[in-house]
Amino acid sequence: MTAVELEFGGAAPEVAEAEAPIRVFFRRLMRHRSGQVGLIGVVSIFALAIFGPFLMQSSPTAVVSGQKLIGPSIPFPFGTDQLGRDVLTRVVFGAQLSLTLGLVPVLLAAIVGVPMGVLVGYSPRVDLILMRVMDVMMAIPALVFALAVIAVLGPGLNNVMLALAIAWVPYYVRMARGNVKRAKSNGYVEFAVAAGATDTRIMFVHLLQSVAAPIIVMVTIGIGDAILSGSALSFIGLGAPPPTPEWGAILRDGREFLRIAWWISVFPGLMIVVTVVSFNLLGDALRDTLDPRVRRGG
Amino acid sequence: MALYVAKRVLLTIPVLFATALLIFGIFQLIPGDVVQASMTVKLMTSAEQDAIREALGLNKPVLERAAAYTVALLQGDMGRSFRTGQPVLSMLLSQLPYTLILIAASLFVAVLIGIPLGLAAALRRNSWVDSSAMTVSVLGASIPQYWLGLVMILIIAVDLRWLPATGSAGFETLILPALALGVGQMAIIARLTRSEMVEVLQSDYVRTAEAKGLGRRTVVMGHAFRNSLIPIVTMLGLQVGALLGGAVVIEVVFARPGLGTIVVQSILKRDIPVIQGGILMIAAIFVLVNLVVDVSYSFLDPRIRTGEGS
Repeated sequence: MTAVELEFGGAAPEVAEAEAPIRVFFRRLMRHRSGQVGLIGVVSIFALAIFGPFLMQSSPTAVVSGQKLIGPSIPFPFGTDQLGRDVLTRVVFGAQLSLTLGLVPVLLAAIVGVPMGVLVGYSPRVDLILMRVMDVMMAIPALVFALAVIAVLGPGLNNVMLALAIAWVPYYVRMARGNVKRAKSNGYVEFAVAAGATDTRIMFVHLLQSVAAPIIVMVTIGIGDAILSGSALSFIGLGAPPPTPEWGAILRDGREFLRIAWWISVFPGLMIVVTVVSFNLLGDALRDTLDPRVRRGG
Repeated sequence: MALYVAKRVLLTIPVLFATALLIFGIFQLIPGDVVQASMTVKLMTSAEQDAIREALGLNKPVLERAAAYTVALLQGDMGRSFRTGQPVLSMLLSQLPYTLILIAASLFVAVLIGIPLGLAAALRRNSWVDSSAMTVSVLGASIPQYWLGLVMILIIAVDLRWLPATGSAGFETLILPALALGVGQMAIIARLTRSEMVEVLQSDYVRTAEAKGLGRRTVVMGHAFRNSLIPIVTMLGLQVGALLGGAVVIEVVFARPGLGTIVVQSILKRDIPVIQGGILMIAAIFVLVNLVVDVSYSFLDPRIRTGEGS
């Protein structure tokens, strides 16, 4: 998980213009240079994951004995591997798996962690016990915590995603809690109480809104992190088993042949770099456009 | 200050205990039990299994086992490996130096490149220096470390033959792994240094120092950078966590011995006591590093030393 803590001003971005906030937001995002690059990158990766497999001629696991270890060439732009599989086909099919690997753990961690954080930030009674548990979880480095969970559940892609999700829950709890605590001091909670709103309504209508912006940023950057960590776990043999074309797993399969066939490992690695850079740039741009404090300091 | 340090050290003890118990708890969740889980290591008759359960105290209630585990830990006993029968603690201690050296070298790389990069970017804000430094930083944070390791092995070790690709003997074998592992942290440090410096350089006391006629060098290094150090040191402490996780992968890539290698091998072989001990040792390193970081604040920030403003 990014150790950079995301702290925001608390209040939802103020919009002075009469335009709809969502349009203002998009306009700002599109004016942001890294926002443009990141958004184009992320949209392209999603397009590749969704439509790419339809454009491929062969299956990602089709073994052709006559075409082993052919370097990048016109029929095989990314070359072929030791079993004669087309690396481009494998990388394209892998996009779906690797995106899933990026999205699932982060969304799971956010879905579990954010409501917990809101609850804890709002009600000090639950706070003390739960936050001590979270502190202890955070005393174990996230990837190492994930290793412990994998040791218990066994290797495999699904278990890797679950393990990363569990390891990241405390970070979402802490982030949501911090923002809720700050939002609480803004006065509108007292206002809502005075207006007769129930606790549930205050927490999940008013306070959840105040953490929406930092969550969006944290999730976007987290997706890149998840792809890095998840593919790393596949690479060391704890994630996707062969012949799954997950990018980290393709890299692992090509590792033995690194000296004679660099293309098997280099292309999936480049795909990971492009994907993670896109999510990170988009995340940075979202931080700049959504956070009123950064925008003012600009 | 002595009081502050003592308080901070004492606070670490319950954290270490809680961490040990949390890890113990996680491993209680293994489907079936530890003996069944390690059946892949060697086949045993049910009588043999029961004998092992008896010896490990697995038929006792969980709280009693947790207490026994804690007492054993205090005596430096982490159990024995299912595979080799050796004491876990001594197995881990023999691997510990390799991991510590790798982490230290990576931190060194991160600081040595990251801080000057961030300083240069902050001092030449919005110039080409700034934008190229930040491009390097985004790339550094987005490259899979194990892949960078592989590419460096390919180019520097295999093609150019400048440095060895694998192994753990000598200084040369440390350079590539430390670079591969340190680049991500370098990126984070560079960004943080830049943003802290940009903020500090606009502050009143920097303007005052400049107005007094102090040289640019004194103002930047003596006044501004000194005040950026606290967040940077905090970040370094936190990043040791990421480095400890990354070291697991980098050790495997470069076929280096270390805590990561032994934990990954043990996961694949289902050698539970070694995994449990290894993870606890890594967590303990992280907790202790953050203790050192907290204590070092008191040297960097006089307000903490005197108890003011905290």
